[in-house]
Amino acid sequence: MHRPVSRAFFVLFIPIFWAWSSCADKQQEVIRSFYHWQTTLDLSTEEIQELSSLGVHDLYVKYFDVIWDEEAAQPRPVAKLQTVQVPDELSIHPVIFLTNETLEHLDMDGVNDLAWRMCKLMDQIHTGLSKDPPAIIQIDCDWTEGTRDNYFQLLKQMQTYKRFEETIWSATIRLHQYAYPQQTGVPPVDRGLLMFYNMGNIEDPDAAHSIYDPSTAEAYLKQTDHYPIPLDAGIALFSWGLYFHHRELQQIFYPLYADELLNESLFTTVDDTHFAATGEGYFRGRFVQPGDTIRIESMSPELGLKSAEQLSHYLHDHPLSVILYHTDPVILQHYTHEELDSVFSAFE
Amino acid sequence: MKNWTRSFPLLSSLLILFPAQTGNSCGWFYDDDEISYRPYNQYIIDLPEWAWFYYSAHALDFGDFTDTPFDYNLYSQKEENIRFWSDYYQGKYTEAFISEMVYADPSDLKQLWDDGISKKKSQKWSNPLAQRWQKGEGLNELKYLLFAHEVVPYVQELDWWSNETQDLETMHILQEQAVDLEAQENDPGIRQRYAFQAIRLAHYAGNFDDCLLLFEQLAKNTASVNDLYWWCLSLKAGAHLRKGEFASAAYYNALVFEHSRAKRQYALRDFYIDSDATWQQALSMCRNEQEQKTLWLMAGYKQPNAAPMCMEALLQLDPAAPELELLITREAEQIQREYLPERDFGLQTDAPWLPPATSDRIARLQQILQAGIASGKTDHVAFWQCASAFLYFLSGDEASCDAALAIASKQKGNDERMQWQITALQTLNTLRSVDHMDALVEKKILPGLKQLVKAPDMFGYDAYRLAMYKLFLLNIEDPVRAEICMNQAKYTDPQAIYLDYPVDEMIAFFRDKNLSPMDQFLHDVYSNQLPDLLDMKATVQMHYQQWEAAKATLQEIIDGGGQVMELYADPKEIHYYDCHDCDHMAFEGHYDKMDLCNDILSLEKKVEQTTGEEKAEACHLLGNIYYNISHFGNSWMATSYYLNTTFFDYYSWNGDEHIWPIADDDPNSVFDNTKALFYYDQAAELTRDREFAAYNVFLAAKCEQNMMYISGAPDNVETTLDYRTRFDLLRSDYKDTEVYLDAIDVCKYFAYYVQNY
Repeated sequence: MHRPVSRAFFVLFIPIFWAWSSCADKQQEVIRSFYHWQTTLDLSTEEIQELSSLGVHDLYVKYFDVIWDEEAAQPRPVAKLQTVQVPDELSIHPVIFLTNETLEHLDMDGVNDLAWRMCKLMDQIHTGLSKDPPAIIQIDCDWTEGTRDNYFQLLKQMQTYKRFEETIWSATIRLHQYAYPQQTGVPPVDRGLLMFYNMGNIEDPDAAHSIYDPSTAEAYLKQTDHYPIPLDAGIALFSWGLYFHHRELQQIFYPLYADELLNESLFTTVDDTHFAATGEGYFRGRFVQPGDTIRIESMSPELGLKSAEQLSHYLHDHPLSVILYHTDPVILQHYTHEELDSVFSAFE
Repeated sequence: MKNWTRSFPLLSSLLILFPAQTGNSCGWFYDDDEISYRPYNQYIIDLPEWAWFYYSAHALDFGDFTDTPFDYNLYSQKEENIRFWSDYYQGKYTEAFISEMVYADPSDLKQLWDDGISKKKSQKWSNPLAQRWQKGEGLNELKYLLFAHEVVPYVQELDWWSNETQDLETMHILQEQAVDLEAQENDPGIRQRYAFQAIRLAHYAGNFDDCLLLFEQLAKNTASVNDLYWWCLSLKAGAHLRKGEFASAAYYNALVFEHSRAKRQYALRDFYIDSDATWQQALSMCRNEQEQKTLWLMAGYKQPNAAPMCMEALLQLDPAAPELELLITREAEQIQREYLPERDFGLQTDAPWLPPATSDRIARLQQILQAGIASGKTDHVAFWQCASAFLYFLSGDEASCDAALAIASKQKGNDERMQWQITALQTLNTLRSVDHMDALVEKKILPGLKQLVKAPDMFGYDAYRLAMYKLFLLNIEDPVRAEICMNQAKYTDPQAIYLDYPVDEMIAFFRDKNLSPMDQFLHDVYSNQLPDLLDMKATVQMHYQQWEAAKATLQEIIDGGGQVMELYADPKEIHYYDCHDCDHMAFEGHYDKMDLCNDILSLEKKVEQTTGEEKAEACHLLGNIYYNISHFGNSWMATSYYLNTTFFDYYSWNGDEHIWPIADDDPNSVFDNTKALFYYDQAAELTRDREFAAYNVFLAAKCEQNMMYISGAPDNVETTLDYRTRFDLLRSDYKDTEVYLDAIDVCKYFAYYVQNY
């Protein structure tokens, strides 16, 4: 039997509830986005439909990586994007991954030259995808104190490229860079993309989860009240296996989910995330021996949602792009439409 | 300061191998293959055609091989192509002539073609091949070469920074032309070359199905025509790899690895086994034992984890297989890198000589070695015994090590490399359990050490140094023997530590006429001998300004028939500004450390005994000498062996805080100018010559400035002014002198001071 709600309840509690809910319901303008990190841009009709139904209209597409070529002693673009099909429904935003090592080798002239080359190549690739200059360009680099000056100069120089003058420039920000902007500096760009993953020590065989660990994340997030440039959110969905031989990290199997190892005769289950080799043989091109281990680190739907909810409390910039990493069919198989939707919704 | 924990970067290409090994670089530091002592020498085996593959890091990273004694040309594609042509011509033309024409400028080839067609000689060629073509003979060869030059631009790497793609249309046209030309050609050698170009074009255009089909149609049966066949097969292997047909790719790459040295490292690079099923499939494709052996070698080579399994398989196939010996020597070599100390071990006196070395890896290799030895079918018994002895040595089983070495000794024949390896291991094994030195131990190890010190670098270098490291640890309480052993183990530089060096004990040791055989050996191998030690003692004495004592020490060098070290300039000379090189180049006389001692002693006497201008002059000269034997002067090498570079850190400062680089108030420091300043002040005060006085005031100002540099004080205006008293004196009291004007002209500091303060 229900007790009737007393009048006193409405008098005393409704205003409080209204005040709370008006704050909680404040709609955040979220631009739902995905990363595309494969070298061939060829989304299937189903994938495009799925993105569309999720309200995703922005695709951050990696155009190429820039590495340091030891033999030639110069920077080199690799894994250049091959485009098979360009989905009309999506705005394409170029992303370039630049290794920190490349910056270590360059002087200021080399940096300026690299900036020009990167822009030119990006321009060439983008022209094949769209007649308009990109609305947003993102540069991904885990810079250090030693390479900061070079990196920031590169970003400044890239922004002078004529065809990209109207473009919004974005740079990825790792958690340690977010937490300690005084030490690491703040990249001279319009926006940052806070990579809310890869926060632990991947090489530690005893670490629990190097992709996302709520307490580690919280420790970083609490360091900073306000980051000097507007931030967008990068959320990981992937799963990988870290392969250790004599407790030393040898290789990352990517993507890798525990269910594959459950069916693999070479390995036995130690616990939910750890597998040990029981014999000798090849696994995904790697020769394993008894005693070798694989640690699965998986951004399950629950963990993906948890990370989104945690980060949502700290990012308040409007509009806010939320970019999920990434449009790999193998990864997306592990998420339902509703689970992906809930990750975006956590910010809304 | 907060901890700045870095997260691991998300690698763009997540499937790449983690960098377990960094690339080999030619630099000042050791690379992966050089970082630890390596008394087990890979070159114990005689497989020069596989020398590239002795080192994992080198071979896999396509690194620099300057430190390995093998013939680069063995692996050169150009050289191999010339050899193919030479075979085609059946040795009729030298390789030099062939090379000149095959790699000639296309315009020259075109001209030769025109000459051949018209049978006219537009240009005189000394190359018999060109002469042949000019006569109109062998024009099909020339036609092919012209076609090949057409193809080359399309099978080269595109500009990295351009998004341009290959001209697939033209490549297809060329591919069809190659097929047609192949069909029209009668000469099997040239037909095969057209086939190669057709397959190559299909491969580079990414038409891997076409590539495989063309191989089947045009090249499959040409193995007996020319070894160019293996290059065609290499393209076929590549096509299978791109199609994800890993077993076929691995199998054909193994064949290429076996037959083409130029393609060997590429075959290995592309050798990829994704699963056990693939591996079994690749093995099942083998038509004979040799093909299987090559597959096992490549599998063992590509992933060190797989090496034990591959060695076991090879042992079953053929204990005498050179492939097996290569894997054994690589495995033993890699094991030593895991267990032996790093060469640059510093002064870790509390660490054991060798860390404990027991592992499944060692045990498994030992098991393989023992099985091979027991089979009695191995090719080089001494090699197997040496490898086994090395593992016993690592594990601390001295008796088994000795036994294996005894057999190796008997079986080695005249193999010099094997003898060095045996000597190295015998010496190290003897030292293994030694915990103190006595006459018996010395007697046991001395013959080996005496041999190893003379060994060629490759064969005895590390073993000798490792042995001397052990001797250093055994003699740690004995400054003389410890110094010599450390010097030999690490090639230290005694002069670099001359102020802390046990010079008197060392001299006593080097003068001892009754050294034991072991001590005599240490005496003989040391990098410094008695005259060097006496010079070091004199330098220390001069550093502490003990001129009489230094003189006596230097006299001992002369008495022993040696020469006293010369200085590069006369320290009595001075200039407005310091330029060591200018002084050194301008100096033509002779001035040595003994002259310096004599000058100082006589000038100091003069200062005591004279007055007026004579005393002023002596003070001035003493000021010059004391200035010049400091860090800042042209004769700094009188009191030290190395110019201290710490000082120059000042010039590369960064950050906001800026202080002078060296806080040094030691009166015996090489930076100290106190005494020079004192004598310049004296000279300025004593003389009545205003120009001479002004000059000495300026020189005193130089000393003051140097003292500022070593003050450790902040670099700011207040500090600077504290050290400008002689500038002030020069400006206030000597404005009317030529020196004042010269100083403004020559010295920017003084000019700035006069203008601003």
